[in-house]
Amino acid sequence: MNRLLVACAMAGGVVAPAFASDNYTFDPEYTIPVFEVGHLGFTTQRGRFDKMEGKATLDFAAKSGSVQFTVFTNSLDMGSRAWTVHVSSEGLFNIEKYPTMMFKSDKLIFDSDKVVGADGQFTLLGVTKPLTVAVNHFACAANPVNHKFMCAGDVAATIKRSEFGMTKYIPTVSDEIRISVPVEAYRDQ
Amino acid sequence: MALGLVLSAPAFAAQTYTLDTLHSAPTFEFKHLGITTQSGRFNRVAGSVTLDPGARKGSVTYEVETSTLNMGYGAEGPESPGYQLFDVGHFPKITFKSSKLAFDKAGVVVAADGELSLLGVTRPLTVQVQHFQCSISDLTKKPLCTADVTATVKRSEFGMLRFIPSISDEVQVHVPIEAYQD
Repeated sequence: MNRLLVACAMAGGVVAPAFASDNYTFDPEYTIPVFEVGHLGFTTQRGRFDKMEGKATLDFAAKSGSVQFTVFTNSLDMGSRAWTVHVSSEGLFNIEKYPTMMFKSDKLIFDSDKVVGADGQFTLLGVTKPLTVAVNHFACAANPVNHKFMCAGDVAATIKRSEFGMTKYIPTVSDEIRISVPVEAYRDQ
Repeated sequence: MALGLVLSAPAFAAQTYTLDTLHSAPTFEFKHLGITTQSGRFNRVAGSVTLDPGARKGSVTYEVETSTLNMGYGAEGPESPGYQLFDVGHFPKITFKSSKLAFDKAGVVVAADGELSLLGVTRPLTVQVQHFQCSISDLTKKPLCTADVTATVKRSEFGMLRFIPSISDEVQVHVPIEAYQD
């Protein structure tokens, strides 16, 4: 714990004026988007995308920042091949026509020195709509395992898939989709 | 049909349901470095439920095949941290068994007192049951009972100590259950 605090304090000292804005790159092993849908109106089913890439800029002094997050839809993983193929198909994620989903924001929301949300644009099935995401548990510290400086948090959002034209199987599969993305992002050297 | 009903009458009180394994896969969540909430899943399970709503009794068995661990990092194998944590080579199954379902006044299942076996250690575990409902499936036209089951497990109590606290001791488990009447 002390090591974390020391690293934080050091990093704070170093970055102060010279690097007002720092760039961060998302760690693909620990930044894996999960989504939840209601199935048959009763159970909560989860799916996941295993591949994404993301970058963020953070300027703690100015309390500003941006993020760009791309999900590769062909990495959809429902836990069984048949189900994955089904959810990948036309009418749902339609991965052949739409290989990526994207979230972009240049308006991170700060509360004191913590990022607590982001106002941005979400693109799904080629449709772009405004989306505000919440950021929970935000913290920056040196990873105690590899000693690299990182910022991390849990991102949460809710979308209505019908707003992006994904209407198949509503209401057997819920219109509302809850999205959870743990983000661990390392500061670029 | 009438004959069948007559023959099965006495046993009819308790119905047996078999899990739709595709829609009953467990996911689990843990904290990484005390910050982010990471999740994993097992892809293959088997299980069955007996329900006697009149008597407010029931039981459940649920078995997870540990070799189907899926963390999203790509193929798991003997050398991967996940396989080592769950000691897949020695313990091919995680099981939960309960013969004590808890019903509320309306006859809805709200919890289950049972036993979880993980890494060869068996300990009592109470799981919470939300959204319990029985109906006729729109898709298959068969009687179906469904629920979302949640539980919190301290993995250290089962001897799974590795990577604590980088990977949290406490693990949240979520299991959607969709079970069709036999």
